[in-house]
Amino acid sequence: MSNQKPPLQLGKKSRIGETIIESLIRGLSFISIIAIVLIFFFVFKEASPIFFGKSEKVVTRDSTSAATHNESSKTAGTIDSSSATMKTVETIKAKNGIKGTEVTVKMDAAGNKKKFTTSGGTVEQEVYDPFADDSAPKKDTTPPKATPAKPKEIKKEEPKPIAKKESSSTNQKYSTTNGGSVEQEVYDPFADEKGGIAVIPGQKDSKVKSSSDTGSVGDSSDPTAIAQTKSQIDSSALQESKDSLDRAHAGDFSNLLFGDTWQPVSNVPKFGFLPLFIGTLKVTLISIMFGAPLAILAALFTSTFAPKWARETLKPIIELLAGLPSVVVGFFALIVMATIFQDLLGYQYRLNSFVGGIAMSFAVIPIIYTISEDALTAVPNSLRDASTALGATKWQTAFKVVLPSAIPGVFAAVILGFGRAFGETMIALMATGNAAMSTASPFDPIRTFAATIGAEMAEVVFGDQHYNVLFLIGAMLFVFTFTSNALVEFYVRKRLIRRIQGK
Amino acid sequence: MSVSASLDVSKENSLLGSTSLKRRLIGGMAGGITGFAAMLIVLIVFTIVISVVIGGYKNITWEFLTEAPKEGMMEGGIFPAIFGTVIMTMLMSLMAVPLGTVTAIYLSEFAKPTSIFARSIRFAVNTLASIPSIVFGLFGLGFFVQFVGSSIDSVTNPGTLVWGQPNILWASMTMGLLTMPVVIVSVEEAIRTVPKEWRDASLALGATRLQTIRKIVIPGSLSGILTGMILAISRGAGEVAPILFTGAAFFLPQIPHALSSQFMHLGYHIYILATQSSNVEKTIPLQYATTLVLLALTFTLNLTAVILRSRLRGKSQSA
Repeated sequence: MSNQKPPLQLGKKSRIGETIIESLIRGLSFISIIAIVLIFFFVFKEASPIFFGKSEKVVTRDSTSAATHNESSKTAGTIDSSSATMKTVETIKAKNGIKGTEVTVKMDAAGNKKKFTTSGGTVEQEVYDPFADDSAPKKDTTPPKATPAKPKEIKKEEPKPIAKKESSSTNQKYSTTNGGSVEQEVYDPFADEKGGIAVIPGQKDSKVKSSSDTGSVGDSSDPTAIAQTKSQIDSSALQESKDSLDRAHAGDFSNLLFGDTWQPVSNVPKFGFLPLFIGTLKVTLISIMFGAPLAILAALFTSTFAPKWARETLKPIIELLAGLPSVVVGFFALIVMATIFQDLLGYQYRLNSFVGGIAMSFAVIPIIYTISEDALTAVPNSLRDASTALGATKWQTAFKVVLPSAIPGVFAAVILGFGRAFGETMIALMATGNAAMSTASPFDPIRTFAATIGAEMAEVVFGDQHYNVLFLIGAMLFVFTFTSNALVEFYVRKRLIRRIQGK
Repeated sequence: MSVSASLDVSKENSLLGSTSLKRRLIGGMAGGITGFAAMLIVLIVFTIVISVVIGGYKNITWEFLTEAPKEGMMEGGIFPAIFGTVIMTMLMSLMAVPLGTVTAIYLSEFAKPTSIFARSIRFAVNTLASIPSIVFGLFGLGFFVQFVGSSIDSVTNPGTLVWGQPNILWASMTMGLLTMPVVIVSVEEAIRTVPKEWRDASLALGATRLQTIRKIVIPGSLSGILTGMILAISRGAGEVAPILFTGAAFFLPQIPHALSSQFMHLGYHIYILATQSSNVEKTIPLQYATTLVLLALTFTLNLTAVILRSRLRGKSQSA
């Protein structure tokens, strides 16, 4: 039908116009695909420094953040630039030194903060920082001491000196001996008392490496360096938090993902995903366990048992539930439900994963109901008729014929509901207590992935590691929903069609 | 599979035949359980609505609806929030409705249902509909604010920060992307209700495909497009997560005066009052009242959409 040629009198001109408009429609309809690609790209782009930002990008990232510091403190400009140059220097050194080559380029833009010499003999360096005990983390547990494989050490060393030299109280000696091996000794006066510093894994590693103490020439303390660092620290307190973030950057990557503490705002930020994962899983499972049976049974009711009037009233009500803003559900859970549940069950924390999960099921029920109802009504009447003709009762038909043949659709509904609960933000933010605890009890407060983004994104500095980690969480949520959606689209639908058609 | 299932039924049926009481009991219970589940859902909806209405109706006054918040948001009204929500949803529909309608027209009129393009667009729409709203917020921040906005700033007036920060335009565009699938689905459904005979007749009379769409398909599915628009507005008015960091403001005494300014939003206002305010207990009446206003807004929109759609379905069945 569409191949018909337009009548002659329309003329060529209008046909060209039509083609243009048609191609415009075609083009615009690809917006949703473009949107998906853009979302994928930009969310990952902001998260990428975590993966790729170890050597080169750290420097560039820090110099951009240094630019922002110029606004906040007057003297910070020179300091930051100096630290930036020193960073590059250190990277070069670390790269070359470990391999044993003779080059160690050193310079200091800000002044005589450090002393550097080159290849043939020794390189000395001392940084004394009297304020380090303030900035040095105290309450931390010791990071894992396990020394990783050698190539990993090399990688880890690159960012480490960056953090150390600026704020932590360390005393470093770089000495290139005749053989060309670089030693690095770190003296940390606070290590034994306070249980270590953020970069201890790196320090330990370097100690292990500097076992051959042949060529080191003692320190030569530099009095001007003290004054210099003093003014630095005074002028830019912000810089310190930045440094501690960089220090955490030195922690290895598996620590980031599988650490068991989520503590993004502290001297030594910790980005362990485990408590968030447990929290999200807990609240999602509770919402599915409560919501899914309810929604599936209700869908079975409308498709099999319900008289027409009940069907006609139930559908708009479920649509109203779907249209309920999640912030309203969250408000209801926070103000009304939490109090009632606590009175009834008598648990300790008012806001917990149980309250959050039940509230979240209100958001999940409409999705599961709608999709499984579609699947149930798609079951052909011939099956029902055959079942009834064989003498089965209504409930036997419903539970033994209709439900089993629609089970892929119901499964799809539960998966999509799971995805919805997994990414639900406002209810989780308002009703779950937002404490990153990894306990098994359903009556403990939890913090979900989505709520973490929602709560913390407003307070982070653009471009620092916390920011990147939040984007990484977003990227994970994206991948999760994308995968579950693809699963439903390409696997479950096919099975559903096959099953219903009896092939 | 299905055949074996029915065979099972018949076997069990003969076994159970003698104990008809048991059968009837189980049957009644099965019907009762499903009915109970449906009842429970209805009960949940009514509990939420009624508790919000009871908590909030006393505080809905003319002053509350027309004044700005006062005393550190402890008193006063919510007019900036209402205004901001309305403006934001209008800007959002300016983006979502045309784009969504065009996509729906392409999917139902141009694309072959089996073609790879149509299928990938459909998959993209489904995915877009199920991506968590907070991810849209991140995208809005990363793309609109950090990328587009900063680029505009660096081209037009370097050194200043006009577009490269959260504002109402970026929030609306983020929300537009979020609500686009809603529009697509409901418009497509509406377009499908236009009988095929009408199209054929139009084409047979010598109209081009575009003329058919403009004169036959769109007028025939106008109520569906309207439904999609209303549903999108309702969704947009209720969502808070995408605007958390793309434009919503904690507190603004005046209404937004330019596209590059921030705005207050009803849902965000509820969230702020309920969780971030310095004295949560004191503002509970305000919270209830704000929730009631938001609920009234979205419910009115939703009800209109539901009614429109049921009329549409009735029409398509009779046609």
